[in-house]
Amino acid sequence: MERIYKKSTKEFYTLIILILLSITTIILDHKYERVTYVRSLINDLVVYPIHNISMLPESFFGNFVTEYQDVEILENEISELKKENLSLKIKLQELAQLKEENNRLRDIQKKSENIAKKQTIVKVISNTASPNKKIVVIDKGTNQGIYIGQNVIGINGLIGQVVETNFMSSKVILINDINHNVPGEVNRTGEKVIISGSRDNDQLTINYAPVDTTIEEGDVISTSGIAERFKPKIPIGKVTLIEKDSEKRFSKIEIEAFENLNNLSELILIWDYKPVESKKE
Amino acid sequence: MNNIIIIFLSTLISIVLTISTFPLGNFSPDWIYLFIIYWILAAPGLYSLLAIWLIGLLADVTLGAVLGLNGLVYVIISFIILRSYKSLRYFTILQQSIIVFLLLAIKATIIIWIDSLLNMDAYTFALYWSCFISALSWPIIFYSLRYIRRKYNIS
Repeated sequence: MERIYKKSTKEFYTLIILILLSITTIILDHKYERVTYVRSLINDLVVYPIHNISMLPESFFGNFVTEYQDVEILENEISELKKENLSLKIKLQELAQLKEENNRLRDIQKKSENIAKKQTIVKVISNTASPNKKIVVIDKGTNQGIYIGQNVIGINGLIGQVVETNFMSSKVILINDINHNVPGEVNRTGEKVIISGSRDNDQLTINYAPVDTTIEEGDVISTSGIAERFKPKIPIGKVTLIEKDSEKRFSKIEIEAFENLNNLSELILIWDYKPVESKKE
Repeated sequence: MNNIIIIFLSTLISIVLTISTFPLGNFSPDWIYLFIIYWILAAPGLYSLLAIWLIGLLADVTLGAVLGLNGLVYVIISFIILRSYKSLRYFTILQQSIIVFLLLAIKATIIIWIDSLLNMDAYTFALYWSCFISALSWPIIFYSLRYIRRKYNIS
């Protein structure tokens, strides 16, 4: 009897100690972000390898399927790409000329700021890194100098920002996550708006636009640079739907992002903009 | 030594299952914890509370939760099961599923509670769907793990 009693009291005290320990780590992680090192360590040593293992079958079948894609589709694609290449080359020539002119003008202005447009192209390892957040995992981490808050863009527009860095991988939160807000600006009117993700679909919304807003369908929204989180003038998306209901306090505005946020494979990290260090919002 | 291998393998498999069912969102079963429940019921001496807590930390990193959140709820629920495994063991599989649902619902409630306490807004009431799906998949886990346990004679 005494033995059982001793065993259960020991168990009870273990429980209490572990609960206190959990509360400590929760507070340290949430409030002070002190255990990020531990998190990165666990991630790199255990979770990242397991992640790769679990992605093996998917990538294998993915390769299999793409290799046996219809030849006709591929041929069509090639001819289209050729056309596109031609027009792009023409544009490039114009661009080169413009660039030279620009350089010349800049030299004249003696504005010899070194605009090193360093960019890194990263691959998305997994599109679903969390069951209830819109987060993707990319294949570069602090070893390559990636920092938290780094802006992530695609070829067409803004994608998100880096929220967690580990040694070999990082997590990027997408702009259509429900808790993510981007300060934006309507290109046409200069009106400042806040763009958030929405819960029910993958569209972006402006939640707090007044009923008499001047935003129209087809307006292009880009980042404004307010709050100094995102580099200004990155295109975000196009307004697709406006519902002005005078009964409600705010009008409903939906934005379609230029990037296809559900199916990302390659992202671009930009280096020439460092967001200001701020406390976690 | 044998115990460590079992814990290691079952944790590995459950994390792989968790990662591969991420696309289901809140409708994916809580594989990691269902595996732990089975092993506590079948072999109560196998997992210590400390091991369960460490697996909870792994789950936090995998799921992207605040470090310690799953550790906390895993330990609390495991303590309840450790205290009552003798009676739980003799329930029928349907009764066990209902108990699993209730335990996971308590777990989800604590998670949502802490989540709203810290103002993180990461979880919604849709988390209860996960409990329901987990309870539905309990028989599958129970029978498959029992098969493995009997084959390799683990106790």
